[in-house]
Amino acid sequence: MSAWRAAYEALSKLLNSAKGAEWAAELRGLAARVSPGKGEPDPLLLKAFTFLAERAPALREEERPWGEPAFRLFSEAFMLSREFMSLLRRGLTSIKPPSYGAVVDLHSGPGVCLEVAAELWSRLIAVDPFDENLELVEERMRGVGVSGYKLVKGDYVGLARLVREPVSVVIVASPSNWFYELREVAGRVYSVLEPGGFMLLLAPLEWGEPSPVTPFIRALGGASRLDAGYIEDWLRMEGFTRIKVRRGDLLTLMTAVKP
Amino acid sequence: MATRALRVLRVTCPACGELCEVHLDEETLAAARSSPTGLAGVADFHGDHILVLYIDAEGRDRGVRVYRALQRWEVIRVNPSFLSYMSEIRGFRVSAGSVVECFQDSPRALIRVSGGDVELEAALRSFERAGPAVAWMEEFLEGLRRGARAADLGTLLLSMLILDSCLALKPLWGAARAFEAVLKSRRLVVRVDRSAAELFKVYADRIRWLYAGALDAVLEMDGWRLIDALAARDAITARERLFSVLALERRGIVRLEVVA
Repeated sequence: MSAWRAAYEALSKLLNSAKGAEWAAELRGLAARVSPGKGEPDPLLLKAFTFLAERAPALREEERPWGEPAFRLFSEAFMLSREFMSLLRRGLTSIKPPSYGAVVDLHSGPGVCLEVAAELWSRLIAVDPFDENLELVEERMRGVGVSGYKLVKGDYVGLARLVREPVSVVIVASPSNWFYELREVAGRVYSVLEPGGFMLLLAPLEWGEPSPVTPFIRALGGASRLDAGYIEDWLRMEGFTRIKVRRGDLLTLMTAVKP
Repeated sequence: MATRALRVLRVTCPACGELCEVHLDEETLAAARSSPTGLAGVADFHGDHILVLYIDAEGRDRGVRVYRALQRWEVIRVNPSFLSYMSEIRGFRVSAGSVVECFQDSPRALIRVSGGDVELEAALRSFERAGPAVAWMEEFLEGLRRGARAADLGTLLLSMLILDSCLALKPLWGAARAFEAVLKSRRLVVRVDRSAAELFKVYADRIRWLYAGALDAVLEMDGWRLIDALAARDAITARERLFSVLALERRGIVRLEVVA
């Protein structure tokens, strides 16, 4: 099942939704450069991206589309897809932080990452600027029987102020992060990690050609740069070392260590 | 606050025909004596309406009325039999413009939370979990602050039942929104977004911990008033229905539309 192909097939719906809008031309240009990918589309992701395509014009009208219920629904579906879950699990099981400090899920969205992290760690913190996302994280934690979690309202800008305890791992993976400048996020993450702590980034990064997710992000008003080489360079410039990259079909997993 | 019942009156509700017993105590009679009208009202909760029995200082039945809306500055003493539906709370007083109270006897201690022009006092069966209880009561109070204007006696008592059913649980982030929804529930209509529901159905089996069958149950409630959607035999079921509706609302599958 191909995640790439699912996003690619939903692109035609996105272009339909954008018809007549000022921003349609930019989308058409981007979409024309996206390769179709191979294999059968992942049915869940096809449905999720098709849903997002239908809602894109309305979401674009909102000041922060990633805080809207429709985007929350899309995010949960996206994060529960095989591609996302397998890369996330692989990333979390591959890292060995020096202590059992907290795991922070930054801009947690519906909290799927913490659900997976709870299988390995006991001190979990969700940081998100929206009450409804934190409610959803709590619903999820209670649903799976996890009690050692904290909910913190805010975003990356106030991260050092909001999280005072030692942090071993920061996960930057939910689709909310597509709307933040990852370069700036990485800097704030570096400042809260304990030495030897890990940053785990999971995103539809681009490798010399546009990802089929990029037109969706642009349609919703997002502008952050998702070029894989650029992100990797920034991580090094911030001081991260031992950067490891794993490419999936649609998503890329990067893990980096604060020395 | 009420003490031992001096007299029991049996009345039939003109709205639903239910035969109910109203327990009169010395304090209710004293309230009638000190009232300018010489009457005191005792309320009995009947789901979507409230029966108020008026009695005089001698404890005589002076008529009944059925209310849906709570009148500002009114003092309502709820029939203590209402407390039999509660497991943690053994008496309460809610002040939000009007005052609604329900006590079986004089409590030894009350927990009080207040802020702005609203206040909640509650006597608990056990004070062992007073910390979480206060946290829940504060969330309730915040919900009351936001929803008091749209509340009536029925929704207020329903929200008290749900509060009671929550006290044994760990406090929830944003619970105030849940209480606000209950208080406004007569003016909120459940609207289901079919396209969002279809997406949810594709991955619902990956989040089995979400109340089983919640989606199907709530989909059936499209167009229902929230208060009707919450109607249940017990407070725990009402709470689970509320949480199911709000879980789907967070995901945009359900919208709570305000109606007149």
